[in-house]
Amino acid sequence: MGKILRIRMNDLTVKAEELGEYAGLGGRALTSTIIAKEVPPLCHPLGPNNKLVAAAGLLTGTTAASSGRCHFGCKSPLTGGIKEGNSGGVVSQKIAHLGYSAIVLEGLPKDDKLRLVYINKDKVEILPADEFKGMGNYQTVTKLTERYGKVGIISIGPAGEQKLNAASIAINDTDNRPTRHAARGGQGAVMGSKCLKAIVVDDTGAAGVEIKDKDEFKKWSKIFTDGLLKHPVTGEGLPTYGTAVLINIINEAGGLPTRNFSTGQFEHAANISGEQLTENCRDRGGKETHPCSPGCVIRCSNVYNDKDGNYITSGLEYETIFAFGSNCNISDLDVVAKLDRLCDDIGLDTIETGGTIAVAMEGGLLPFGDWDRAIKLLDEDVRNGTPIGKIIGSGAVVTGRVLGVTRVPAVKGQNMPAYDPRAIQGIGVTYATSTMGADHTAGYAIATNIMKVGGYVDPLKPEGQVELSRNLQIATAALDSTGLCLFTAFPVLDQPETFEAIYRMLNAQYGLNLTADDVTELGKNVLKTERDFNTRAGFTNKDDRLPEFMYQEVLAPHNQVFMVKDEELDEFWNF
Amino acid sequence: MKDISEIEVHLSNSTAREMCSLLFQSGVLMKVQVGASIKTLLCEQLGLDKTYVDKRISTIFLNNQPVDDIDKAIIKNNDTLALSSAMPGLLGATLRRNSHLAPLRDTITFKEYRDDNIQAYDLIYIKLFNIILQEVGPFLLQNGVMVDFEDVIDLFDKKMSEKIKGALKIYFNGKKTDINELCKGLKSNVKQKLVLLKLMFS
Repeated sequence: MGKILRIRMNDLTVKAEELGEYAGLGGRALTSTIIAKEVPPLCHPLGPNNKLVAAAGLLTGTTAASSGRCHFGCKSPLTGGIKEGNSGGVVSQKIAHLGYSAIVLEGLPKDDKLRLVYINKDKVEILPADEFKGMGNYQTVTKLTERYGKVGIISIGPAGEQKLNAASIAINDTDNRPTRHAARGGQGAVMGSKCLKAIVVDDTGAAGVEIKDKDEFKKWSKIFTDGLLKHPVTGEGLPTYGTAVLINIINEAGGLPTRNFSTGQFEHAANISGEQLTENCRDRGGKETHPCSPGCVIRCSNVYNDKDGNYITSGLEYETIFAFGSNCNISDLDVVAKLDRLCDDIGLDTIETGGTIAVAMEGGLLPFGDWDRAIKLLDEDVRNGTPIGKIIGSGAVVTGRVLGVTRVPAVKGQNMPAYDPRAIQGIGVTYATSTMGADHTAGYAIATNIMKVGGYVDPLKPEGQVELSRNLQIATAALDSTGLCLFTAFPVLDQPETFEAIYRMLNAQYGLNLTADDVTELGKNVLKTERDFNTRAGFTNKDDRLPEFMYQEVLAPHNQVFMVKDEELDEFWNF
Repeated sequence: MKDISEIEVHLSNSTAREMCSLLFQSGVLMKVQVGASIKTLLCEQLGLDKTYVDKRISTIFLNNQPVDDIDKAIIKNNDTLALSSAMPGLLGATLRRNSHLAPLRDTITFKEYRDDNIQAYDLIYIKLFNIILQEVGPFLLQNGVMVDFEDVIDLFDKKMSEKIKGALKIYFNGKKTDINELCKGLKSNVKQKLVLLKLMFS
């Protein structure tokens, strides 16, 4: 197990300490436990008592495939509750190689000078960084690379510096571009409140991660990798089309949010589909498959070029394409790619920002489909901090209030991802009950059947959806603690030996005797810890609800409202 | 004279792939024996291998409703059948046939398992996505699919006009022609509603 590196911005000191009571935790389990234990739930998210945690997963830094997620946690300025968000990129493995399980940022500096933190095997320095003020993530990464060489970089853009609710935290990818983001919940604003522009992690000469039983680890790591490669989703579908392959499917199911969640099908879905994305990447010299972090064998990312072959963006994903595409009535994939690039550079969550632009369109600030104005809103207004830019950067709920829009698709202050819960009601249960606010990754398609989380669910019983959502959220919380990408869940779903490989690798690495039940228990503890924090922060069961219009307004083509009853939603936490 | 026009186009692989993608994502019409199950349609009428259907086509929609039992779901005229491989994401897994997560989409799942005893040839829409599009699309196009007349004009005269200029061979109602003549011929024949389109990958 690694150490915790505490960086105190109030007196600009650093201290490395043993994990102590946090031993055995990683990823989301570690970020959420630290926040729940050390942050007063009623504190202001941008005040001196909030902390920002960056943590490696339990398997991160090893040779386990697709285990390079970097997890961030804090009290969210967007939701007011606990937040964990994770991302790919190159930094998490470097943190683990240096022997740290987590970096904890504490306090606020006494002045408003911008700073950066540099970490290598010998030292941790807090350095002046005022020359980076107002700089986009792309230029920041270029300049830091000129100074430090090939390093891992965690950074914020102008949105984070302005402490906007939709601000993300960027991590450089395998091509050294700031395209991977822990985006949800405004964690970039918390980093900005601490006047920290970047954390540079240099693992040159680092000792790396200790493995107790190398042969055993190697054996199960191979089984795990083989499981990913032979599965049709992780070995074929995702590498070929990326996550955007979902556009056509969700559209066909009538659940693709279109024009601010007013209908479930977009008539131009084929123009923005994964199939089209792949064609464009091939034709224009981009990359239709690309790893977001070293050692990822799924390679679901991409590099997207314009018609002349010039780079626009990387990691153009389903959620971003929905947010700026169907939801804003924009049917040009090149425009969506430009908006994604702007979000990466300014440091904004694409789901929240796309959702906010759609709310602004409904509120009359700009017409649906007006991509030119949408680009200006981001590139001129949000980037430069104009009054309207600050409103847009504060997210969909704030923008809806300012513009008098009643149809704001948000839960606990966070805009919904790309699945309308009136079409697929079960995901509405997760949106409603997640400790994170509306979150598509909170209850992922984990193999609850194989993990035996909650046992068999009878699909004919009305409570089936709540029970399934609960099981999925427990299992997701456990997987999020390992540092493994959520997409590894698909082979785990279908191949029992792939799931077994996860806890066998953990056992071999740490010399433990974990079983499937222990992994499940870990997930339950994470959820209960997060729920407890939110309760102490003032959340009640009344916050576990979808927005009013989704109970009243039918969604085409299935013409359904959200039908899961409040009492059923309240059953969620009975475990 | 034939009751509908027939176009046969020979294209390079990359252009044919793009055209195939455009056609099947939006949907094409095929004349099939309705009243049959989805399984019978795919295996016996379209000629797909049973194992391929069972293992590969793991996500199927009939009129926007995810289908679990393809032996019992019966095709009717004017239905839209969409075929996909296994998809990522919670929803991707949920929408799969016989997924243990099926309760999450219970209210939209196809449940009209009844046999109306209709046995006739009629038109249905077929959509193909992702890997199924790549693997099955060329096969179906070689045998011919029906496309709305306006959509064909849009495809040849607008969406693919530049790329199709390099077409290796084009036949319109059996006579060799070029893209300009084809577009002229199509536009002068607008009373027709459907075109039989065959696409050869070269």
